[in-house]
Amino acid sequence: MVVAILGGCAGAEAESPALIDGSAGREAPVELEGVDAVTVLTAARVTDADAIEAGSPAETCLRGPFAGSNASGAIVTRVGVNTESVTFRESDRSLLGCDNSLGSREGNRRWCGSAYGMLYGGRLRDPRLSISCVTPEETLIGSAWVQPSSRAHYVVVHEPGFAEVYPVTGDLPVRVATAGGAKREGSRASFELSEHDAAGKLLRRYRLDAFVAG
Amino acid sequence: MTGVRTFLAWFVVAFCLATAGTAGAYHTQFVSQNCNWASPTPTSYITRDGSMTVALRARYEGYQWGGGCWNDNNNDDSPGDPPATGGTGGEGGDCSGFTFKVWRESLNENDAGFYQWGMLRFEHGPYLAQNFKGGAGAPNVIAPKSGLYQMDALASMGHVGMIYARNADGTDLIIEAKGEAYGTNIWTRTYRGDSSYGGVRRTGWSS
Repeated sequence: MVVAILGGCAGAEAESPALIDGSAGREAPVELEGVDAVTVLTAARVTDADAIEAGSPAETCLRGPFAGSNASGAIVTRVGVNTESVTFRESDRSLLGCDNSLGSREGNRRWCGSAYGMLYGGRLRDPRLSISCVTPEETLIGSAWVQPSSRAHYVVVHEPGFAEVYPVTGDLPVRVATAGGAKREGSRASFELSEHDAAGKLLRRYRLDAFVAG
Repeated sequence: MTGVRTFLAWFVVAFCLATAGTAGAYHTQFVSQNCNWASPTPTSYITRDGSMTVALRARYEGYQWGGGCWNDNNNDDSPGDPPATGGTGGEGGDCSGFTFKVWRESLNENDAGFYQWGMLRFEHGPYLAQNFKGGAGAPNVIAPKSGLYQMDALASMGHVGMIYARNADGTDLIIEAKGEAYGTNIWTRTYRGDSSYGGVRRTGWSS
């Protein structure tokens, strides 16, 4: 029995979880220092605010929660294991974002969550946590912006069983999500994070405790 | 030269002392010493007068970004909290947390029921100001500004306040958690005439 179990373990290789659009999850392109769990790379797409396609996530975000807003510069769309998000600036004063998941939401809206943050000197003072989205199993999801250090090429969220890897792109804060660290009580979420350079070297590892606020 | 060195040394000491209070480790003891996690009491109804009474208990209390716990001693017991910093343990709600508790809302956004939260229960609730503006959550709906009543709210992307009374000149008395420097109080505001603000109503008022 022991031999059988050991044999099973030795031959098993964990696969990256799939993304919420059904596509196969891919591992991070580099080995990330200090990350032992299986990695899954979120898909990040950068478009320009002047070239928004009809029906795209960016267009539906601008048409939905932020109707009347004008995006400027880069718009980053991310597809991850539990969430899809859109992040963009409106002028240089505010940051806007939409969050989506596969779980239920009010009135079958396209986006289950949204966030708005004022920029001070180009930076947020608060990660603008949203806890409006859930997984299909009704697990609460917390979504927040991370402002990585200038050398960071990847932001990693350490989730139970896997590490979700977010490429830093578009010169915008990175909208990250956790399905393991969000709590309704206290309206808060904790993110276990690490930042890595282009070669995967660990730059810092930290915990972000975020609160729904403002 | 010695004078310059002495000046620089004192300058460095003075600078360090002046900035020590703004360090990231700032934390007051108000929440840890006064607040609780008591469950809310479900109620079968909500009235505008009753909610006004609930709101007035927070008047003259503090403001806390991401907060949701206050007493009723008409004093900000944790003045000078760092702005826009959650989790510092200070007294008061912020604008959306204050509205959430006064409107007796649920932590579950799909639940439009009524939940009476204690003043000292530390809870912000799931809504940001922009969520209120968009009518997010089962209890909340967008409402025309011209038809707003007492204890309906006016919300922008970054702020929300409830109507305490309407002034004859078209402005409103708004009860709101305004900011760390202001606390929670009633002020005359022109939100109704401000295009960045929209009307929002908590559904289900009995009277």
